[in-house]
Amino acid sequence: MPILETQKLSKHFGGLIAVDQVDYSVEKGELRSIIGPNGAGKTTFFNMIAGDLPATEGEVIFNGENVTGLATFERSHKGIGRTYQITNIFPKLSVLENVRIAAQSRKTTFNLWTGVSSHRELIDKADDIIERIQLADKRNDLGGTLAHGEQRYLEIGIALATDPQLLLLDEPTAGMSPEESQQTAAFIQSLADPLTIILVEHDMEIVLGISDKITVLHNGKFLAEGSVEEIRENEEVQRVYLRE
Amino acid sequence: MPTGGVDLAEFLQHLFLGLVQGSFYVLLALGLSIIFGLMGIINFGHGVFYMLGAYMGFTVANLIIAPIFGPNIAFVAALAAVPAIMFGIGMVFEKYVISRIYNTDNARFSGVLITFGLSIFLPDFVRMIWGRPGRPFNIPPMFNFSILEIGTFNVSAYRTFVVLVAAILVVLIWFLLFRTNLGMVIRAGTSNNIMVQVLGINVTKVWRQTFGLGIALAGFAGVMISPLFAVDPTMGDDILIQTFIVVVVGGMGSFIGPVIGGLIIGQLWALTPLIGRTVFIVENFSGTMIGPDFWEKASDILLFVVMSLILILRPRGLFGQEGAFD
Repeated sequence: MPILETQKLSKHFGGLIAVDQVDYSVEKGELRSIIGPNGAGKTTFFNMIAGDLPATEGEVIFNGENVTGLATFERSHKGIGRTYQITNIFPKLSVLENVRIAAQSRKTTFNLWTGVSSHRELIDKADDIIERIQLADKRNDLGGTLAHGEQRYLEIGIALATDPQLLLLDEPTAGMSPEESQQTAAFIQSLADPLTIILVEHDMEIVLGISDKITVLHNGKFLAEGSVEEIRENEEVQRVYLRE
Repeated sequence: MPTGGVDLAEFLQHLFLGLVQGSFYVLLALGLSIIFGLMGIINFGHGVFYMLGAYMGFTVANLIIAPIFGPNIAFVAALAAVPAIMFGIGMVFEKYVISRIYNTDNARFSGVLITFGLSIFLPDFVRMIWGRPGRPFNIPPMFNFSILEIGTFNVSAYRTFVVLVAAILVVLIWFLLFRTNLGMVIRAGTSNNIMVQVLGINVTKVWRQTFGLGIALAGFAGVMISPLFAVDPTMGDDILIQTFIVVVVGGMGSFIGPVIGGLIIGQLWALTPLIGRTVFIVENFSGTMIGPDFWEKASDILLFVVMSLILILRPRGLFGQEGAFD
């Protein structure tokens, strides 16, 4: 059973059809990418999977369950984590607090009137993640004071702390230098399997380097899907990209 | 600075009174600022909750406890009971009134209208129950002495108590915001509210408790100020506006802003009349001296002038944080 499926998923903004009846399916543990020229509907499609945008038509199935009507936070509790194109962290909280509050959100019964040091397991979990996102030496720095690349890692850390099964990354390397992008690509690859990852990315090198399978959207429609080689050699994809 | 005709003792006295007044501003502004920062509610009801707290204190102390246990115990009882009562009232108001506007169009403006409506309704409601005129509220006898007296400089025990309690509360609020889980969620929500919701944290509970807390602080300030004046249905009107000035001057969305802002505005409020009438000895057009009345009014105006200047120089206020307005 695929971990995620969309069936004829569409989004209309007034008369504009941003995403047009897209069927999509992802297996557990895959690292998938969605590419397409600007305005292809990638982020819209992504937002419908995460729940930030309601679908006009069609369905989103996660782990066999229809989640089309659920809000983002409900999907988050089901196991869909995401990051945003624009860095979305808590600038006035420390790195530890940023990750910790995400870990805390998984606890349904939680006494708010206790000290921050009272839930040791949350701090341990947050510290593990901070280690993984390579921010251990900045553990107590405010999120807002981190460099851009570090904030992107922190955002991934926040998403990881919510125990996702499916992680949606919206242009994780946006604004990064080529070296940083390469490092980030390796980092993302290290997260995949058992985690399932879907990437929306402009940086072709990243996409071609790490994806198990690539899906191309064009004008809101499904254009092509396949392995890196298949997409490289697909004439229709070349035509769309060369015209850009 | 004691200059010209200002007597040092008198100057110190005003400095002290400014500190006391500033303490009230701090307690009110912290609640106002935390509620605004987290929930985006500009609470025009803050002044009337302060007034209601004073009436609750009057009722608990003077009508219920004092006849049995005497005024000292009665006052302590009121200090303990009123924040709890107001916390509950605040949460009920949030649950049945404020929460209805969340996620509606123009929620922020609706918040202004709803709380402004409350500020019209509540004084009349209080008049219906406790009567039209204000009610006297004496300083508890245990505070009827001076800690320091040099000429006209008189540090009264009760005013000192006010300043100390306010200082302790500021520390406690700091502790709550920076060392508890509730505080972390409040700061997270102030920092990036959408993200908190996306993470699936139960914001309903946090917002309700935060609103209750702000109202509890306002009510507590109301009880604390009652012995210095009296309880009166209109007591929350002027101080609400002054508290808004404090929050704007100090900066929205920060902890230190309302504290520093409150102390600054308290001093402006206290020192303007003194410096005005002693340094600027001038006649008006009809040849009579400009008296203390003029300077009392002038201090009200000066608060707005200072606020405007600070807004021109620092639009987010002295300690304002990015994002609190966005």
